[in-house]
Amino acid sequence: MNTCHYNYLLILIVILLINFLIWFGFLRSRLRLKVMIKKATADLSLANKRLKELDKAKSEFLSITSHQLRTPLAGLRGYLSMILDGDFGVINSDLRLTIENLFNGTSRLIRLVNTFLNASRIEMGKLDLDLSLTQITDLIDNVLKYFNPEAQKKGLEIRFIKPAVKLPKIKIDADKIEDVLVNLIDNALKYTSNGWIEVQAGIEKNSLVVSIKDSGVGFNNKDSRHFFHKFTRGNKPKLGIGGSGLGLFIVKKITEAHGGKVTCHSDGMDKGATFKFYLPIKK
Amino acid sequence: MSNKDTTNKPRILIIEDDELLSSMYFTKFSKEGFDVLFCDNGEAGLSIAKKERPNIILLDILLPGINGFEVLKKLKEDGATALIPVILLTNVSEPAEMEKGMKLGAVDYLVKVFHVPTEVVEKVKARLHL
Repeated sequence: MNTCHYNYLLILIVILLINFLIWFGFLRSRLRLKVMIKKATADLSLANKRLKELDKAKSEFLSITSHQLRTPLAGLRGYLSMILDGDFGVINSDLRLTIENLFNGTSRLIRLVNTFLNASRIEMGKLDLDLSLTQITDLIDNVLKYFNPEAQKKGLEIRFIKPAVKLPKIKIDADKIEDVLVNLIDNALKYTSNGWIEVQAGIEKNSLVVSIKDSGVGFNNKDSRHFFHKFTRGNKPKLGIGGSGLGLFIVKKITEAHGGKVTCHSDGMDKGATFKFYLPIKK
Repeated sequence: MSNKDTTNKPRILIIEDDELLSSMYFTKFSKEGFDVLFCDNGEAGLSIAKKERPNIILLDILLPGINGFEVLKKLKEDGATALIPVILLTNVSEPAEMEKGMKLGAVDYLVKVFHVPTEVVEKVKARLHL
């Protein structure tokens, strides 16, 4: 082997050594990166787990608090109803008006607590349906009876246009669909300061449809896609309208759990609004 | 079912631990002509039910000591009280709890916050055919 061969061999060894060093460095970096990714994934997973636990704790807190609030509210509303029923003697018209206001206010508070409770149930994945054959017009009659005193007080006409032909009974969770009606009518009442609220029930294709139309403040349709998200409310601060921002979220979840849907439409600001919910008629 | 009541008034037992509510139902049912018995826990409720044989029982679920479901179960297991109709009157409104209550033998399940006292009286009267 001459000097030339030695040189070639040396160059080859140097090249191999450089390659080995590059490869080793690459391997080390890759390994280090892998460890970093693994750690970051573990951290993210832990953070995610903690967030889920926090969310669950929040829902449980909401649920327990709502239950605790129900007891004194039941007592308050119960006693007020007894005063109005004359169980504690005859009351004059001024006092009656005040007690009626208190009774309606308490009823509103109860609805709000119920909304919180329903929202926390949905969050905790506890939206089980208890299905039974139900006549929707009976449900609507009941809910309207509940809202009539409030509507009268605001000077609003609240009317129910019944279908010409009796609707078939459908399998629904009556209590939950009642919640849907309560939330939608409550909403119409909140956003209508004069005029009317009209409830209509009928059949479209294979669905039972209930619409709640009002002559209230309306909305821009481009804003409506957020209405059914949690803690989203119509932007009407000048009316001083209170609300939890959970009502329409609950409406959407309950109708979807029934295989149905909810829609909303307005011809624009101050042109009223129409909310419709569809429930499939299963044969 | 025998009733030891010497008056002609229907006798109702209310098992409710919240003072505000028990006092409210006591007042309402008394005004409606009922002979009202009440207590604030399940054990006392069982003993009163056995001794006094009310015509109907209004039973809360969340009670100190044994809860309403256990009280209901014991009432239905005891021949002396098994035939007394029991209405669960509670603020627990989970469908699973409602189903459990009805399976254990309650004749009705009312959520307090949704029923004013007059409506509770109407339900009781309907159950007793009054």
